[in-house]
Amino acid sequence: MKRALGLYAACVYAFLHVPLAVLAVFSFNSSRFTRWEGFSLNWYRAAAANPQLAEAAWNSLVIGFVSTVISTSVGTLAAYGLWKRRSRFLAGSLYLTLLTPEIVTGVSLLVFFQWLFRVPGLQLGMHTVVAAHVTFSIAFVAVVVLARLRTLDATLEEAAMDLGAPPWQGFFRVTVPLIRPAIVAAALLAFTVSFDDYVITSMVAGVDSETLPMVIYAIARRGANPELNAVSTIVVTALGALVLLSERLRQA
Amino acid sequence: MRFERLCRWPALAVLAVLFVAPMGIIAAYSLLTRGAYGGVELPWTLDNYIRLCDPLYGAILLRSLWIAAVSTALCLILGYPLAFFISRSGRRKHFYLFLVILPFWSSFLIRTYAWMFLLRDTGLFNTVLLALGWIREPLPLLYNDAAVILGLVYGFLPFMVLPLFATLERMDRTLLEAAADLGARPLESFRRITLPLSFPGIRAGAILVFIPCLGAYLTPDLLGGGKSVMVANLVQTQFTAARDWPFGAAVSLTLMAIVMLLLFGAAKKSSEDLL
Amino acid sequence: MQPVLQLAGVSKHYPGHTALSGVTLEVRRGEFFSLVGPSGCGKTTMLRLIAGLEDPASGDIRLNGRSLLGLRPYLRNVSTVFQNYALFPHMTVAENVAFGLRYRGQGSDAPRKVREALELVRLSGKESRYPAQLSGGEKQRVALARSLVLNPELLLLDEPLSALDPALRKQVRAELKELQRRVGITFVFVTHDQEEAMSVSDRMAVMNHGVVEQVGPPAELYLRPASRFVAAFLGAVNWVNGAGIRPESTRLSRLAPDRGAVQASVERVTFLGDRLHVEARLASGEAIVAQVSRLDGEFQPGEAVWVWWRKEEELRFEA
Repeated sequence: MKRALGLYAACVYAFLHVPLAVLAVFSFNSSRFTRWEGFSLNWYRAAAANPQLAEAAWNSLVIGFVSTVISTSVGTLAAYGLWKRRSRFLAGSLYLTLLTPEIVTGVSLLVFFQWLFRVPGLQLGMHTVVAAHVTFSIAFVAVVVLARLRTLDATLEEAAMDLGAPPWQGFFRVTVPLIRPAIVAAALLAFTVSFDDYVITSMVAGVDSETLPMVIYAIARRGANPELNAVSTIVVTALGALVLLSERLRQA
Repeated sequence: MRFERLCRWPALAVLAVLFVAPMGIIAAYSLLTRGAYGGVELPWTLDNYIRLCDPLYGAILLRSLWIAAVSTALCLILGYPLAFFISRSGRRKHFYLFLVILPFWSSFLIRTYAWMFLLRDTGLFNTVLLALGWIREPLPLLYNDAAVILGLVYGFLPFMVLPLFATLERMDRTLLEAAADLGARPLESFRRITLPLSFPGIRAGAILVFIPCLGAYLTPDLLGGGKSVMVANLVQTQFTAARDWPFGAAVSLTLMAIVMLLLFGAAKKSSEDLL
Repeated sequence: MQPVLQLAGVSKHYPGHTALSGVTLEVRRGEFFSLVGPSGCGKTTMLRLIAGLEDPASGDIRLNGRSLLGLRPYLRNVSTVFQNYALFPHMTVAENVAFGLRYRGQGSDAPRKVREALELVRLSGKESRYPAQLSGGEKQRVALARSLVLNPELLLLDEPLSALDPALRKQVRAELKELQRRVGITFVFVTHDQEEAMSVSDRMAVMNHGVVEQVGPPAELYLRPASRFVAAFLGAVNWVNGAGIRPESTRLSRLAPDRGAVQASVERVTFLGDRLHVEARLASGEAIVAQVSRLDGEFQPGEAVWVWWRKEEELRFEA
């Protein structure tokens, strides 16, 4: 029985990982057809030389970085607030952002920004994408940080207060250092989520704020493109590394 | 105490401005009329919701529900044995779990594209089958409901495995020992003890899979082409090509309403479990 | 001389039960004061109210005459040694001890004060260790040093010995007593162990279900308890005819003594090394335990003995 179960598990893992592995393999294919014709780094070079890809990748990195910094700060504070005093309203709202269909969030933000920008004459752009990413990333951060906070000894902050530290000092001198790995793990997760987002981003991005997923989507839509295999492999490997790091930090 | 109370306000402010307010505007728009050049204008009307009852749109909604249901069921059938395996794998638990989580976090878009690469007429499957001589023409593996379901199962299987694993891992093994001691065969023990005790995990996993499947956009768009339109695709069209914002808003709200109903039902059921 | 700590009519409620009910007591300057009682009697709650970690429902708490009501914990000149020591795991011993100094404007003097504090608790040389590298006893001393270095008006200790090995407890409690005498700071010490409390306290308060039953020096509480609860809590009691008599005051002899004595039959004898516990049943039916020095002779089960005691040693209560 155990053997059969192990075999089954192997099959499922194959199902989960083979498609990406295939992409990776064919990214090194010298031919653009689905027939192996030899090892080559052609497509990686082509992808690197593609200005549209390069600019989109840069935009994604900037947006990812900025939105991660904001959402990690806000999310950590929210998690701390939830740890100290339960708030069904805040917890519920956060979970709602996680489970709301992306199209609904995207469409509502589009409509909101259009309505908001009538008066000041602002446009959709990097800032609207950052705002959108912050909105759905906070919940991810809060979940990770809250999980770590729950394993913390509550008397430590009491001791800090007893020794003369006002609450915000207790937070920064005692609690934050103890949950630092979790905060970093949450930040890495938030970055990953932001970097990969397509649906919401596509609705609120401006003309000059194309992100990497938007370019990838456009190319994929048009049909197969071996450059895409190369880009995909790079992105998946990079994000995978971030996730691995994040997991290690969470276990620490 | 004040610092503790202040902590949650940044998050609340962000959510109020960037989540709740936009939802409110969408709700308002759903009751307005389509503007001449896109956008909205008065008068207030319920037409958009009435239009949803048209069989054309009803079909889309039904298809979405059906695809989500089938995907959830498949995730459950495929995921349960895997979750079971991981819960019994001793010290390797974290590693096996990580192998499940990893694909999920490494770009949903690219993973969907990977299936395009595999299923296309000139994709890997067809190329291999043609080369082997098993078929004479490429099989239309892409651009149908089945491909969408495949993509959804592939994408959301981890969401089923994780809660199932959590429940199975927490289960008291001595219950099974007691059952064996009382004469139950392994299959019986599974059916009468393990399975019922894992219902909370099944429920959690089902909700976590069904809701994203119902609102899926990328998968039906890339893997279904125009042939497998789901609710999210319908909404997106209204805000781009069709330029019918009020109708799009109405569809969005309806989708949101279904999601909240499901969540509310799940929350009620899980709190009933606790009593 | 004004008492260091005054509690007046302090009450505290939680949903479902009352933790403290109308507590009024005083702690005098420089004394080693204990709060004793069984689990759930409210002693830890009282400590938390004095520290400011929780607020009373009613009543007043005064430190050197100033009311502490509404004052946040970090503004009170009261320091707590927690039961689990609550040492900051990411800080060294020196950093732990120095933690509160900056809030008193003494940050620049920290290294010297830390050294002095560690010398006081006899833990010099461990400044750069981390809590995880310390033994239980050492952790406790760091917690003590951390509080003492701030020179508080009052030091609260929440069951500081309960996490230690039994063998270590007697030694550590003697050291604590000695430390308190040297430093001169008023200690308020919470424990559920009555022997521990009696051995270290100048005065103690026995609590039961949120109420203070009696306050006074250990000897007074033991010899002249104000209630049956206090009598029974501080030591064993034989109850005969509504009066209590301690086992060590219960005398046995084979010959009938002059004064009024009662006949009894020995049921069981337990040998405890230096003394014997003799369980006997009186003719009137009550079961009593007498504590007899080994040197006063052995008794056998089944023997008929005379039981007597001095009238002055009886414990009588109104209720």
